[in-house]
Amino acid sequence: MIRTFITRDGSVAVVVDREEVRKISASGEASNLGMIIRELRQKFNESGFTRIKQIDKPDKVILILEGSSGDDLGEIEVLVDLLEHRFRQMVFGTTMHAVTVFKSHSPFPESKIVAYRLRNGKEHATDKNVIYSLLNKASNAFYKEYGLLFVKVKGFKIATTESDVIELPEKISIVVDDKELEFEREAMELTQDSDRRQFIKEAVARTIRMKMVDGGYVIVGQNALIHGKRVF
Amino acid sequence: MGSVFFDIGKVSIYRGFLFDVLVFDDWYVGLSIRPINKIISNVSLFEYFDFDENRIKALKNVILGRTVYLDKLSDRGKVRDVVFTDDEEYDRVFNSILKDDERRGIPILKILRKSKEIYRFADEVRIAFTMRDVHIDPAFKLIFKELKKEPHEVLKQAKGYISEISPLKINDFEIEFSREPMEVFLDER
Repeated sequence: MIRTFITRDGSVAVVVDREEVRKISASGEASNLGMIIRELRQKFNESGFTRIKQIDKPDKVILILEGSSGDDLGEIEVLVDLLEHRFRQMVFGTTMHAVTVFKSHSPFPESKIVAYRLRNGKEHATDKNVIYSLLNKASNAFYKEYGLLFVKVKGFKIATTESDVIELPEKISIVVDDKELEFEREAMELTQDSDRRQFIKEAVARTIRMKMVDGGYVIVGQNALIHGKRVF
Repeated sequence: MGSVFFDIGKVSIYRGFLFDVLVFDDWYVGLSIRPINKIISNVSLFEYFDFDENRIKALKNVILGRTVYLDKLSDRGKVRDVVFTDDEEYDRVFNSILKDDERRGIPILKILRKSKEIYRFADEVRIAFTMRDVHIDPAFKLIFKELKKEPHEVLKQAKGYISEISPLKINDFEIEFSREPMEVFLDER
């Protein structure tokens, strides 16, 4: 139903087959197709593929992830597989086959969130991507300084779980890429499920990346790691 | 097409995995893991093609759009263009990146890296290969055949990775993952 290929210029493209969607949807092909496209776009955005060109054809919809390469193919296939499984489960109430998902033994703990808002981001950059990059670097610097994992959350903020042991100041100034960034602490409640979900996803993904890098892995994509030692 | 363009003796295989974090309605966390392989030349692109600019010229279409690795495995970009020594712009580009005449004669790659275009000599990058190279060079079939795993082997690899990942310490908390995958994929938002 959803497949991937590499375009002539080397970008990864995703094709959703309208006929396949129609076959398994019985009715409501249009809304299901819309849902699939929306979900794909959201997943791709979360993974950093923000420039997406959509081509609507009578028999298919093509999404071209501009700026991606053959190297991203595997990562994109995982996202596509997961979505297709979810869609089939929604339609059939079951999946075609199990995916390799390992579940935690307990839920992510309830915890208070401490957030820091970047006060002077616009003094240093107007491009959102540059500001995000600065926030990522600031998160790393905060980790080194306080030993707490910070992740970026919406509204040009970075956030962490409140610690019983480490007290965090109200204001923090930090130099990143020769830019002095000023952060101010803000009360933050992740009232929206989607915000809390995003925080957990980011926190878990970031922790995995850090732990695996310590173990000799190299980050080769947003959520892709390879061991630095070659097999052959 | 069909003739041997590449030298599989000059490549290295790296193993790893892709992951996706899922958060279920009951706030349990799921980790989807898929093992991957990266095939990267173990010599520079220039050396890979025997320091022969004409070979690179003949294969320009195969090289364009391809991922290349710079100093480290974590530092990569995508080839946007190749500036050859007989191109009009070669001198301008050469002088803009280096004025050491000893390097003159090495093709220069225009690379898209982290949304910025940069220039690197062809002897400063390593080239990556993907499944589509099987269509370009049948010799790659050998590598992919070797790397292809049966589902139970993929599962075994994924279990190996989860053993390395779990438990995860996030500030004051620790998250432990099951070492056995879920049999049924549950609804995830």
